[in-house]
Amino acid sequence: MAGVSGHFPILIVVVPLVGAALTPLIGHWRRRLCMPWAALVMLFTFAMTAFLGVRLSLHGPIGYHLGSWEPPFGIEIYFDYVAALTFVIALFGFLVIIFSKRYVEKELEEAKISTYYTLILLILAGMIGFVVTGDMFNLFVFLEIISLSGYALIAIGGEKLTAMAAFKYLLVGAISSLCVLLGVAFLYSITGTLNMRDISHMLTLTDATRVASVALALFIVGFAVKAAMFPLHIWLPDAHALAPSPVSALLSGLVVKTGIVGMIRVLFNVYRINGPLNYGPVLNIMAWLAGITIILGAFFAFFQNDIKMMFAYSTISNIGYIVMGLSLASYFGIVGGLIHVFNHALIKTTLFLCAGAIIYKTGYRKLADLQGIGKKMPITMGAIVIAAVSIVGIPPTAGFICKWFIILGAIEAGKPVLAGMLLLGSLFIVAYYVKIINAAFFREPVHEITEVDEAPASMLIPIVILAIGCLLMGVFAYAPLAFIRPAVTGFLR
Amino acid sequence: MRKFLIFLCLAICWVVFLSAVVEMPPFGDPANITNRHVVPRYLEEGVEEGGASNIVTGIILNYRGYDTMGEVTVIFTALAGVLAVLKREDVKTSTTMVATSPVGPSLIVTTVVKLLIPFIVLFAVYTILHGDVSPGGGFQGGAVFGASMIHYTLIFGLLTYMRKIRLAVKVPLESAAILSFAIAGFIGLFFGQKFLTFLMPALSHEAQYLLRHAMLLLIEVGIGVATGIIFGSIFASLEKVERI
Repeated sequence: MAGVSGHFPILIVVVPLVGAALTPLIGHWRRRLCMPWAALVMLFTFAMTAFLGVRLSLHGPIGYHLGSWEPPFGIEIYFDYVAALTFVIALFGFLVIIFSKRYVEKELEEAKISTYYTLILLILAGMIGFVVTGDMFNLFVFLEIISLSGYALIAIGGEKLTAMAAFKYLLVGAISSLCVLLGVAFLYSITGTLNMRDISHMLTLTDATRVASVALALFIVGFAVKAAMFPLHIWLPDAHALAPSPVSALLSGLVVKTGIVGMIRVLFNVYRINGPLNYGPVLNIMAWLAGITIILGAFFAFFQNDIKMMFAYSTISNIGYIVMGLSLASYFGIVGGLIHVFNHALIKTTLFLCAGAIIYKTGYRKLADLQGIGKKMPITMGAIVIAAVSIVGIPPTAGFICKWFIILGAIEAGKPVLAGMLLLGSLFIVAYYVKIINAAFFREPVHEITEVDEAPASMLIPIVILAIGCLLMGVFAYAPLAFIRPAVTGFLR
Repeated sequence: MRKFLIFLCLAICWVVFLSAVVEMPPFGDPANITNRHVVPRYLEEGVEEGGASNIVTGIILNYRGYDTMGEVTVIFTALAGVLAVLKREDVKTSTTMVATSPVGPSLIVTTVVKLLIPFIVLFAVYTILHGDVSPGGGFQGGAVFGASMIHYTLIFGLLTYMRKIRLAVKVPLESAAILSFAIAGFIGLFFGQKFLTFLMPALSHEAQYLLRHAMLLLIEVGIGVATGIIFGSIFASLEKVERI
C-alpha cells in the first residue's frame, strides 16, 4: 500500500474518530487500557499530521475529495497552511492524555473513565476535522462535535457547580451554533454551494450583498461566542476554571482557537475581506471589541484568587490579542495574531496542566492557600514561571514576538489607540502573574503543605515538554512563520 | 427596563433579518442559484451515480456521506455526554420508579405492549431497509427502534430491559454507526479510491453495483441499530434511580 500517505488528510480525522468509537469497547473489556489506547491513537494521528506538515511546506496545500466527488458536488478536505494547526492539536492532545492518567484516576469515578477518554478523542477529532475541512456545512458538523463533547467534558466532574457552568456554556453555545448554521443557510441561498472556495467565487457574482452581510454577522457572532470575545465571553471563566484541569488545558489552549479558526475561514477564505467587495465596518468593530476584550479580561484576571479562574480570564484577554491582530487585516497584524494562536495554545496548556498538578497534589486552588508552594513543587512552579514570563511577552520568550507584531500591525493600520489598549492589557497581565509568582515563592506557607512533593512523572513529563516548548518558541520564534507567512500572503492576495 | 432592552435587541435583529430575507431569491424559482449550480447534477445523475433511487438518501450517504458520518458522531457524542453526566445504569446500583412502586402495571397494559412491540420493531426494520427507495432510512428507523425500547422499559421496568439487552451487546452496537461508516470508507481505500467512495472502477460493472449496494446497506443498518440502541441507553440512564 504505497499510496496510504495520500489519504492522510482524511485519516487524521477518521483515526481519532474510530479510536473514540472503540474506546467504550476497550473500556468495557479492560478499563485500564483506555488511556494507553487513547494515547496510541493520538500518537499515530500526530505522526500523520507531522508528515502532512512537512509535505505542506514542501509542496503546498493538499486537497482531498471525499467519495471521489469533485467539489462543489462532494465534500472537500483542504489541508492548507491554517490546517497546519492540526499538528499542534494532535501533539497537545497527546500530552494532555498522558497528563490525564493520574488526574482522572483520582478525580473521576471509575465508571466514567472510558467515557472521559472517548470524549477527549472526540473533541480532538472534532477540532482536527474542523480545521482541515474546506466545506461550510462540514465546518458546522465538526463545530457541533467539538461543542457537545466540550459541554460533557466540563460537567464530567459531577459537582453541582460544574454542571451549572456546563449548562451556561450549553445555552450560549447552542445559540452560537445556530447562528453559524443560519449563516451557512443564508450563504447557500445566494451561492447555491457549500464548498468554501466555490462560495468565495460565487460571492463575487451575486448581487445579494445584504444577505451576505447578514450571514457574515451571524458567523462572526457564532464564532465570537466560541472564541469568548467580549461581550460574549460570560460563559468562559466558569467553564474553563471548573472543568477538570486537563480538560481546561484543552478548552483554553485549543477549543477556543476553533472559534478563531472559524473566523479566519469566514473572513479570509470565504469572504476575502480584503477583496473588492465591501462589507462595511466589520473589521473595525471587531478590532475595537478585541481591544475591550484585552483590557477587561486582564482586569478581571487581576482580581481573582483562584489560579484557574485567573488563567481563564487571561485566556479571554489573549483571545482579544488574536482577534485584534486578525481584524487589523494588515500583514503584521494577521501574522502576529496567527503566531499568537499557536503560542497561546502552548502557554495556556502549560499553565492549566501546572494548575492541575498543583490541585492534584495539594487539593487547594486559591492563591492564598498556595503560598510557598514554589519550594515544594519547584518543577511545576518553574514551568508556571516560564509560561507566565512567556505570556507577558518579555523579549526572549514566546509571547514577545506576537505582541510585537500585533503592535506593529496596529501602527501599520493607522490605529495607535489599539496598540495602546494592547499595552495597557499587557500591564495588567504583568501585575497578576507577579502576584502568582510572589505568592508561590516569596510568602510563607499558611497550610501544612510540608508533606507535599513534586507531581508524579506522568504529569511532569508533559509539563516539562511544554515548558521547554515555551522557551524554544522564544528562541525559534520565526519557526511557525514557515506556515504563517504563505497563509497570510494567501489572505491578502 | 430589562424587558425593554430585550425587546429592543430583538426588534433590531428582526429588522436586520427581514432586510436580508427581502433580498433573498424567491422560494422555488427555477432561476435561483440554488437550483442552477449544484443541485441539477444531483437530480439528473443522482440515481445513477448516487446509488439510491431516493435522491435524498443518495445525497446524505454518498455525495455528502462525510457530513452524515459527522452527524452519527454527534449522536454518539450525545450519548457519551449523557453518560459523562449521569453514568450508565448498573444492575448492582440502579433501580427504577416502576420497580419500586407497590402497584405494578396491569395485565392489560403488559399484554398490549407485548403484542405491540414486535410490530414497532418490524416497522423500524422496514423503515431502515426501505430508506433507499422511499423517504426513511437509518435515522428514522433507528428512532422508531429506540422508541420501542423506551416503550418496553417504561412498562416492564429498567431491570428487565437491562437483562434483555446486556452491556456486552449494547456497548459495541452504540459504536456501530461510526464503525460501519469507517468500514465502508476503508473499502474505498482498499481499492485505491478516496475515502467513502462507493463505485470501484477496478471491479466489473456488476460487482461495482453490488458492492455499492452492500456498502449503502451496511451504513443504513449501522445507523439504524446504533441510533436505536443509543436512544435506549440515553433513556435508561435518565430513567435510573440510584439505589441508596
